[in-house]
Amino acid sequence: MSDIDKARLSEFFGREFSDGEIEAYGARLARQLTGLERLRQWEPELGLIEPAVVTRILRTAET
Amino acid sequence: MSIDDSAPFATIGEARDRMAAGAFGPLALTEALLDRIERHQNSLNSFITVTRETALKEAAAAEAELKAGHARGPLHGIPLAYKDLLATAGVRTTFASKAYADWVPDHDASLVRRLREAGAIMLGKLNLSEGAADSSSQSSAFGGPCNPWNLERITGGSSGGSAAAVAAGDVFGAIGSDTAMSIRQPAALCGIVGLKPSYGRVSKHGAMALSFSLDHLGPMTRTVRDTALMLQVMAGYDPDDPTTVDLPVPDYVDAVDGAPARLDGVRIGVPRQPFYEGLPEGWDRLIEDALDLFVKLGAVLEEFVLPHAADLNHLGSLIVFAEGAAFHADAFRRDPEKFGPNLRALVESGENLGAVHYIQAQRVRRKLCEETLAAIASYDALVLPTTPLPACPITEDDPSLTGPRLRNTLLFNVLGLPAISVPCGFDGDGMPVGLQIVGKGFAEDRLLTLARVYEREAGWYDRHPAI
Repeated sequence: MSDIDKARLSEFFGREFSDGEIEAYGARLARQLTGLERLRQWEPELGLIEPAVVTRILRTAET
Repeated sequence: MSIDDSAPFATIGEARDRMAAGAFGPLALTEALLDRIERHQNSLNSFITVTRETALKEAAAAEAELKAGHARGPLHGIPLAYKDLLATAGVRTTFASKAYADWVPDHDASLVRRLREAGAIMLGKLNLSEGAADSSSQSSAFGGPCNPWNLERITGGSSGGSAAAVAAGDVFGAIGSDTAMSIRQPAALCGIVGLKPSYGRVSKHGAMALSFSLDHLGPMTRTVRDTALMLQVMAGYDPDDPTTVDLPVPDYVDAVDGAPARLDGVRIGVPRQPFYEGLPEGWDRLIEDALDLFVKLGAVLEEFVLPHAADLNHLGSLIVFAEGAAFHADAFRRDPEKFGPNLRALVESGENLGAVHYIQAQRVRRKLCEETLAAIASYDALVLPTTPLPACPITEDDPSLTGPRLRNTLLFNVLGLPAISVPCGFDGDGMPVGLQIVGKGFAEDRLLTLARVYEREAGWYDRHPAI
């Protein structure tokens, strides 16, 4: 985790992380950063997607 | 009435038949398993709480009812145990955490109540990862459980105690929970059957949460038919859980008992990349043997690329962190020192995510789920290895392995699809390997049929650890 890009962390989380935090959060922080990077890739395609109903995942499969 | 050595590994159906024939009663069976748990507890550590006194009372009542010609339901007199995140009235429910260790609920979780009403006898509460938040169960505040096939190896997690107790013949079945892998991966690593039902098929009322929109509760047993028997009782709409769906519940036991001899015309999707890559030595052959068996039975296998596989896992991870931090927010604020390092890191790092991150993750989730479900609609099922990593030595376990371990499973929580792990052989170290079969939403009956055909033909279900 010591090689995690602190600038990328700051860009995606909106704040700086101390070395102690990076150490404590371990691989979790890298997983979150990857997730946020992928999220940003998809956001431009969300324009027409209706945002509600997040728990009825199998809406299309229920019938 | 006496218990022979085979009784602890009987199927639920066999145990019921023997009780009906007078070979033994619920009380003798319960006593035998409680003694067995006591003998195993030092080595397996699969239980956090053993409810010996109440179990014996319940068993005595069940025995009296049987003698009076009355059986409460399909699980009458069958000893089970529940992962220690399900509320049990009057019995402490710890979440394997010092932060919750003193909680004694005044009510039963809906599933606990349903199983009791069906005649099941609760032997106790099973060990798990603290907060159900690691992939080996070693973070439990009560010490981690050990794998009955090799006591120096992990059970997997987070339902590690559930998997170990079932595999060791200490209970006939257990309830596990699964947010990213937590029923299927320990089931695979301990050589048992574990089903994560469709999201909304089984009530979560009374279950402590890791991630509200990804958590699933499901049965863990030694055979597919026993899974069907438990699911039959567990499934269905629950007004106390608004995420359950009010759909008819098929007859799962009939589906298993009527499993056909062949699978002609069944279309199975085989998503090679990335799910079949990087497997431990010897696992490839076992998985390929399973695929060959499906072909021999007449199924049509088709390799394809499952769209958005990696991104579904990435989104799932974000959602787990955010929802997990939310669940523990109050307790963590009051007593952070009571949280172990793994759960503490999950909560603290999850708090770094913002509301917009979480909402966007759920919006993208919906988009990717719709596209992925459409892409796999032509398949009756998908088949892939349950987990890409073996049960490592306990001394080599590390939290950083959670990401790699969830590669083949978390996306099906994000999609909400039912998925079952069944044993598909043993590797060179003598450790069990699991095959994951993924079905269509709310079609657990068809999934169980398929799993039963494989189980029957493959024949791995009658191997048990020599503990």
